[in-house]
Amino acid sequence: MSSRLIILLSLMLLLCLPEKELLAQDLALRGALFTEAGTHPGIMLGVTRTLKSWDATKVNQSKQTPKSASLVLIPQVGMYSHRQNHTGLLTQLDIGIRRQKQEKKHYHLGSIGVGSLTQFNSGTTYLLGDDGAVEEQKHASRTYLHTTLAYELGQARNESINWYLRFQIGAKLPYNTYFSLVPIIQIGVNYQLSKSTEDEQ
Amino acid sequence: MNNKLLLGVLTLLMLVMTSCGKEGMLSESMEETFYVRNDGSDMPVFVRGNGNSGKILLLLHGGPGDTSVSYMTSAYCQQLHDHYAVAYWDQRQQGNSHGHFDKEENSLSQIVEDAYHVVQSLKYRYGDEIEIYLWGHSWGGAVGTAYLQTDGYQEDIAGFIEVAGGFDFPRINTALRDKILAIAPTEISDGNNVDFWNEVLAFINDIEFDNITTEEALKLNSYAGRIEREMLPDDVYEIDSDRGYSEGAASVSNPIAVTTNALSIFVQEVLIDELLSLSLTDNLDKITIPTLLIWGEYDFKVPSDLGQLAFDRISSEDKTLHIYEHAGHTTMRYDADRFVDDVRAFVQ
Repeated sequence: MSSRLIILLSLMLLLCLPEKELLAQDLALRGALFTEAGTHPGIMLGVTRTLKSWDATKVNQSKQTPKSASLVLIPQVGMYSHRQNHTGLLTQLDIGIRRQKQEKKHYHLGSIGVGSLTQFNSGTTYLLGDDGAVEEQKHASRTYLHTTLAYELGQARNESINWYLRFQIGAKLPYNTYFSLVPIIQIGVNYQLSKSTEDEQ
Repeated sequence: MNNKLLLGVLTLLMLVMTSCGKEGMLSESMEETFYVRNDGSDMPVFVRGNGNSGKILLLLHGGPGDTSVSYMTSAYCQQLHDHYAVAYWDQRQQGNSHGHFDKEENSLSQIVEDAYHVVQSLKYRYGDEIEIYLWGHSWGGAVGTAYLQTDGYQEDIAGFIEVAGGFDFPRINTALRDKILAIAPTEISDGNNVDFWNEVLAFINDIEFDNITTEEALKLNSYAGRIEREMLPDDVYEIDSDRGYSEGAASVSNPIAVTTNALSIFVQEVLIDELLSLSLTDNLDKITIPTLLIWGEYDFKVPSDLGQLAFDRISSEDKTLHIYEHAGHTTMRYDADRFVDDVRAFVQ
């Protein structure tokens, strides 16, 4: 699959749904700053869409703690810069479970995802042709399949905004003859755009 | 939410993050990155140092599985940068190189072809008049030797600096065996690490050196590192731990990519089988360009016998062999000042 096709498909997941349809759902806009490999700064944007919520309270004889759980879909796009090495463009679609105690403001979210990671080489990329001529390419790139596993800890500031800290480990493949890892730490904000009127619990 | 606005912001960010200044110009203090793409691999070349010298040392790093950037921050490289430009090239599937190809496509001949593409890219980028010296360390010495043995490739190279080059692995193994057999009895009779030396002796006595396995070769290499550490005086060995200056978080290298690439070489045994039987000695006489050979007396990974062998067989009229008395396998790190002086005397 060509790199552009992977990127386009991933972007479509985020961008191509009609806005009115999106806003009719339980939807939050999310934005984050992150580091790739601990030191390469980046920015990530996306949405958190709640697909389904349910009561996850465990019945305990001594104590009942009301809990809720939600199935969420998180499409994101992001970019990071590794100085004099490459610039990375990430697209990913995560699906996960968010759990929250009702009297608490914080939540836990675990997710798995799939997407793409495109590496744009820093500087010029040179190719030597069969005739011995050197060809220059600016912003030459390669795109890898990118699978992710993530844990997110968030806390509500008010009804509209919560912040979160997200730890993600990704695998880019096929990378050379094997694979490589992509650890990402995000710190970001969810801004509630709309909330479902139906109580699905 | 306006989707077009989001897309616009991302495009703008991408342009800002990928933009760069004027590149490809020689200067006194160069700090550039470019890539060479060949047969499924995108390989970075980091250029540092004094380009006004008109001379570039193209580093062929060790391994296989190392990265050129691990040399960049050393004291000897920092000193070399004052005099010459150094091109730090990460070989395919090593260091910060990325791409995709089958493991069968990674071979010494492929890496030599990649090196040729790097040389041509350097000349294209900085001009035909630039003088390029190959500087190979350890495995990089094998790459440099194979490069210079390839018909027509020497023409673009001004000189060859080989440091502890691993150009003949069967001979490396037997030279190491002979060194161990010479040293171990004395160490045992002196009561130095008796258990260790007996273990090593038992190990090499079990090896059929004409039919050595991958596991045996890797273990022998591991013993070589341990013996170097045992034999070098502590104050000398500690120099080896001094990695010089550190770029830390600002490093151009990605330690995770470097580690997973190195891991892939050993997990998948890429190049390892070829390496076990690699012998480039018979064609050393093909090398006719000026050559500087540097070895460490305490190098057990590639014993200095190999340096003498290369010196005897290379056809160059201008050739020099230095064996540093108090140095191990990363020879240049033990005496950075002497190494830089020797390189300067050779290049100038």
